[in-house]
Amino acid sequence: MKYPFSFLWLFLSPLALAANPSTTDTGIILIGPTGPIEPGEYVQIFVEGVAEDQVQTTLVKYWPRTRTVIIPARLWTGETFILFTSKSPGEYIIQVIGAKNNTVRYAECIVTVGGEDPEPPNSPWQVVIVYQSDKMEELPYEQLLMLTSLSFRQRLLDAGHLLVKGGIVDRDIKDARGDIPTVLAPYLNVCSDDESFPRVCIAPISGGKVLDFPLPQTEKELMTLLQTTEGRE
Amino acid sequence: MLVIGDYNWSTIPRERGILPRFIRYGSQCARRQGLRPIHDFPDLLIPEDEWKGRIQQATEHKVMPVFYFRDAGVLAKSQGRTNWCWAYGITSALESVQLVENQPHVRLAPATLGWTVGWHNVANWCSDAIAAVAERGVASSVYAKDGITNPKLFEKGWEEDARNYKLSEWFDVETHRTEKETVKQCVSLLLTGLPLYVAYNWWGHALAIIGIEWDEAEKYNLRWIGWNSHGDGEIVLTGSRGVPDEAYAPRSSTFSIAKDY
Repeated sequence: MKYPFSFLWLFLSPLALAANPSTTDTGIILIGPTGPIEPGEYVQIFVEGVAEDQVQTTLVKYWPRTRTVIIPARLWTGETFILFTSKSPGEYIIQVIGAKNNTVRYAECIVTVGGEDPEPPNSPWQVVIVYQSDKMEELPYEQLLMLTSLSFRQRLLDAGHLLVKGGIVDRDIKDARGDIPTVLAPYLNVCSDDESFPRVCIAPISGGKVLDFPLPQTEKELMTLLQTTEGRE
Repeated sequence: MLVIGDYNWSTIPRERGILPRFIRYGSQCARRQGLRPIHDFPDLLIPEDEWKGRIQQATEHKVMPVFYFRDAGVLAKSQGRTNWCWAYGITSALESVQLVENQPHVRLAPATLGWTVGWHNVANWCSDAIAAVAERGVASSVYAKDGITNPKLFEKGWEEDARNYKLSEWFDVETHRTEKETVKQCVSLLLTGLPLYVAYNWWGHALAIIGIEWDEAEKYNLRWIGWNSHGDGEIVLTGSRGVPDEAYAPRSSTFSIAKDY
């Protein structure tokens, strides 16, 4: 922080500041940061044009409010300012509204809180579950449910994923010609016989490399896997 | 919906669709045909005191084939005046396995299994039907309507199409112990999401069992949900009438190279 200040918590103190950029109607100016600030960084937005006797009739408003802290305060030297911080990236509007000589006075400034772009929504997946039909009796019940539950398939679809046609498949599936089905070959081919079954094989819906994992023990774990795995185009 | 129980079974017209099983359970002959005895998989069997909870879970999670049939809007089949229930029952079992495997629903033509009996309108062994489906498969209904036995009425190309729809591996239920033991094996298989291809000697009829419901007013607390081939689709069997004299559960099917791929 650049300037020392006294902790006079004047929540209703009338502070009108001009930031860059700022809009003022009647002499209230907000002077704030000229560029984006870091999430969690404290900045001072100085208010000019609000006299001490106008403090009680001036309001400070801001939006969004989530994870945002606004503290109107005053320096020992008398300058008034608004202490601002927010932990969430985005644009924040700070508004100062006052009255003087029966005239409404208003000023606002925009503060940009920078930071990394929010993570893009995880891409939906094409899903195939490969199992061994002669070892079904060894499957824990929760895994068996993922193979057989119609409700689970609907939840998968609701989450944006696609259970490939024929996608609950025995390791040794063959088509009418006695071959590995063309549609399922990319998924079956990544499963090594040395690995444990059942397995879940996924590929981005828009196409890409097929990834395979041991089938998680529960549906919840599988959904987490689908949400957290990064697609590889 | 037709409900058949111990109180009314004598009023149900007898069929002439099935011949008594002759292949011995667990024998080499049965195994060569892909019939794996369920007792090879002892961990598959669910104790009776767990049935209620497991049936409730299976219903809540829509595990049994009956839910797939309802969701897919599967239409009932009608064998008409034929004695080919042995073909209609196994065809329905095949259709349900394909749905569980997330393959698209394709309505199949049981009549295309008629080569097994020389196209005669006669009964058959379930084991022969199983062998036929493994060897040549069942064509889709595009090639043959329900209720016919004359292959000259089939569309060309049915034999090629039938190769897409085969079943090769089965769990075999041992039905020569006690009735209760048979029930236990059947319940265990149904709760794994598999349909049953069953035969009832008292009825002379074969069909598919696609689900069970818990009902404490019934024997074994069970209502058996069948998929029948008299144009009716879902039926319910209760009491000893629901316990099959033969039962087989298909384990996996051929991957269909259907045109929509």
